[in-house]
Amino acid sequence: MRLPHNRMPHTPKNTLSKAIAILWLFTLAALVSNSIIVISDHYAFDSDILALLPEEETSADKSLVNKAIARLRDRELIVLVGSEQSENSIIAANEVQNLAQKSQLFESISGIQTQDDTKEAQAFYSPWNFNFISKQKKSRIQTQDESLVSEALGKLFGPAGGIGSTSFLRDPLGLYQDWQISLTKNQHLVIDNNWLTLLDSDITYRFLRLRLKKSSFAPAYQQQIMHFLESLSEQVDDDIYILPSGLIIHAAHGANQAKSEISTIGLGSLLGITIILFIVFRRVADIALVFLPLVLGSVFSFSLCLILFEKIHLITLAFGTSLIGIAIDYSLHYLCAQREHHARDTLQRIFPGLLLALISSVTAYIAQAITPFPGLRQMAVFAALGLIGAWLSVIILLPLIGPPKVQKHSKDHMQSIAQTVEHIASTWAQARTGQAKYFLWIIGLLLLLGASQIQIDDNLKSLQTSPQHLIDNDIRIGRLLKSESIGNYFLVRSADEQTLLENEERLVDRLEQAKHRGLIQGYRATSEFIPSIRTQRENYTLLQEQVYTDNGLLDEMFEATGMQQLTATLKRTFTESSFTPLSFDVWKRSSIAKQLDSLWIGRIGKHDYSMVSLIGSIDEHTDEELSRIASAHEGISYINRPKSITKILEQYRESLFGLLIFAYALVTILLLLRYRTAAIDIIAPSFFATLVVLSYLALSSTALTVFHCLALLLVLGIGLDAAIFLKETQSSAYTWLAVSLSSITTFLAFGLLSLSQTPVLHFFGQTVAVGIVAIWFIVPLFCVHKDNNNAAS
Amino acid sequence: MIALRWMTALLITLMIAFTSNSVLAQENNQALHSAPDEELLEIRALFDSESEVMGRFIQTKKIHNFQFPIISSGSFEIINNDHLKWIVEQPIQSTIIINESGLHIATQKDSTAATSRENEARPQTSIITAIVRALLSMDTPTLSEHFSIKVINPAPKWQLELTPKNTVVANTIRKIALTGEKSLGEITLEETRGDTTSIRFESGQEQP
Repeated sequence: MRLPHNRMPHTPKNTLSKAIAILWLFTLAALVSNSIIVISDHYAFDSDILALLPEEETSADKSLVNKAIARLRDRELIVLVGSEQSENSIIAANEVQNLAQKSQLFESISGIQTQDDTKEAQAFYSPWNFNFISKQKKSRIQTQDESLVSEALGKLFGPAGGIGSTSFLRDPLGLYQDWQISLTKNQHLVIDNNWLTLLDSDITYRFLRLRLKKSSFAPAYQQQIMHFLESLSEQVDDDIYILPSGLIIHAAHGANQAKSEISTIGLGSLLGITIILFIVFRRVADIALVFLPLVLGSVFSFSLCLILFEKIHLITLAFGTSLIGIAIDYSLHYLCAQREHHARDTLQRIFPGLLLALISSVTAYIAQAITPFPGLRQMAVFAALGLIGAWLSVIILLPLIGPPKVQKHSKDHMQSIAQTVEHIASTWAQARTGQAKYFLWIIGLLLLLGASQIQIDDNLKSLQTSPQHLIDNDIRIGRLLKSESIGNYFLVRSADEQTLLENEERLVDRLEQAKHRGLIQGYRATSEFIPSIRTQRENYTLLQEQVYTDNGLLDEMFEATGMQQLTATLKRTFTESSFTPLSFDVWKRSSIAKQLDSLWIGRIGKHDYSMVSLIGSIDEHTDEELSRIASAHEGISYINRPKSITKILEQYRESLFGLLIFAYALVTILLLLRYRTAAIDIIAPSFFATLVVLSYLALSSTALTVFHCLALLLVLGIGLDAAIFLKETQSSAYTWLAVSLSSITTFLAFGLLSLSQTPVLHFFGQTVAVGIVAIWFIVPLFCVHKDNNNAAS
Repeated sequence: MIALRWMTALLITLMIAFTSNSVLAQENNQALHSAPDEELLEIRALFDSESEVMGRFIQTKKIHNFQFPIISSGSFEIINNDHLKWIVEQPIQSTIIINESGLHIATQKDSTAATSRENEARPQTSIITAIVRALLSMDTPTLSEHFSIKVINPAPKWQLELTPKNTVVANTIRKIALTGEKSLGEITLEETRGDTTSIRFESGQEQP
């Protein structure tokens, strides 16, 4: 379709255009300044992958809980300092602690134990000692187990028996002491020379726990921490092993890898794009003009999203800007068309094509926006706004800049390139005529067959970017420390702190059974260290009724010894200290609570939350058992983080793939309105290119992931643009040039990411690379030299 | 004369067992012991290995804030350097056995069957017995890991004072005093909470 050239009077139009341009630039400037204000006010991008889950009623709380968990768990750095020489490990560990303190990078450092630390921990509970009895002893008291008495007597009369931190008068049966010992059951570290110590064959490790000041994902902080860890290895002697472990190391490695790849691959592609554009346009300014709308579009979109969304997710930024990449088509087509006609009315001629290209792409993205997935919605809005911004920039700003005063030979040069490209395309397009046609049909069918063989993979592990040595290191430390599983834990929720502790105690009972059955190695819960007031009262009452009462265990104990004064004193001591509960608030201020702070989330919204962590690795069977335990209790949920992230990826992939089909349908309807049956020609290249990608993935045994699906949206957009412009300009040579340039630049910009070692980038790049090449080859078959009758208007 | 070794072993064992944050000794730690001084070596030389030792004891325990001492007495025997039987006869009858597998308490009432379940909570038992063995051979380096050993009086009327080095141990035990002549006469253990335990051995009980 070609619109009539209405040559409007120059002056008023120019003035109006200029006014609009100024208004547009002013709008952008306003948006940018707003963004600067928002971002400079400690704006933090959302990096919690769980925030991408479909929203539920409790989503606000849920995401806060997730954030709290991430903060508690992800901000820890464990450093083991080891040596074959025990004393060297102490010297090195002291040095590491000093360096950590000096660096001021950490919120807190726990390393060498002072006498006060241990004393405080031992003495803290003493005033409430009658409230604490271990589960084991409790059941023995309930059954009036007489050996309790004989044991206590044995200790009292045995050599140096009953040494402890609590007075014998307050703990004659050693119940409180036994409870204290039971608290250390998961303690695999021992105190040696005032260090928490671990022995592994010949090596003595000293243990340091460093709490990070900032998020593991804060780029600058990551660098500081990595630098700090490197400097540690340099500063200590050669025979010292330093084993650091923490999410930040993986995060930093992932970020570094992505960064260095993006900068090398990015530099390569930028160089390639610049060279290609320079060969064609021969003017630096034009290259800038190609990218200007892209930049403005991204800025426009980003600024608006800052206003529209409470939090912008990092994933939105990463993939949203990639999707905006197809906006390069608008400027390329504009500039090519401008060269073709060398007139100021370029815009009017290509406007319908531009508009259609925008509408079809935006339609494709809008389809995403109706999903319940916050991540997809945000990404869709971001990309759609970006396209609109870029598009507006093209139609508002580029006409003002106008065509360059080209010399004859330059025009000839571009024309010859355009004609060469067109020649290649049309020659190739011959393939669809004659005998070759059947061959193409067979290929098409084979593609369909190939695509149907596609495997899928949503497993988080396949996105793992950390190199094996980092993973091995973590496994080693995990094995040494018998540390808590980071990915699997229970989340307990209750209306207040005390019911939360009671809830935990119910869970712990079940976990204790699971431990006896060998399902889990152990667990850690806050309520072990601060039993609920209900349990404390129960314990006290048990002592009152079974131990200190007349003819109770105590009387039985001293019956034969004839030590009436002692019995009287013991009973008096008990009755004088009436029941006083150890409150959660008091406990929370103790040094013991501080060591357990990674389990307590606290109040979020209307509920209090805590975690109960599991020790050791969890297999599939145990995983199911634990889910069953959680589902049997109100307010307890079992979380398997890797599994739930895998679930998110699966849901996203499924819905993205569905949306891709939906987007195709929507765009086809739109195109039918304009092109009638010829709409098939427009949609076909993208469709077949998608089939090529899927077949390629199937053949190369690459499983389909959510990131492939995202890239397929980009392929759809580029294919649509190419077909629409070719249709609109009846496949002029310059349009061919624009289409080819767009393909090459997109290939260079994203396709090269397939060289990346980072799975996510690799998947995206792979799809775009194959898809773009396929589009370039398929588009001519549908859009070149077709019967003019077919090109409906 | 093995009594001293045994008693020290026992004390350390119990001390470790009853210090809630168990203290693990490193068998391969040769590090922090001071060179054994002459006087200590001299006292050590008084003890020679015997396969079986027997004797009687009187234990006086003074509990802080309780005016009456708790006194018990009985006999003990050591078999093959690694099996201690502590038989309390007064005021009740009770037997405490310390061997490779840890600490067992049995009273007359329920005879040998009812042994203590103390060990369940302590996976370190095997390590503790390893320390016991180290102590049996008067392994001063291992002793020095936990205590500074000071010779107050040299032989023949010797007196030793053990002060904890480790803060965890120091939180419970203030010091241990050992006295004797040709054999171990008395052990006095002072706890930080104010309790004191003295065990007096009746000399001349050793039988070859």
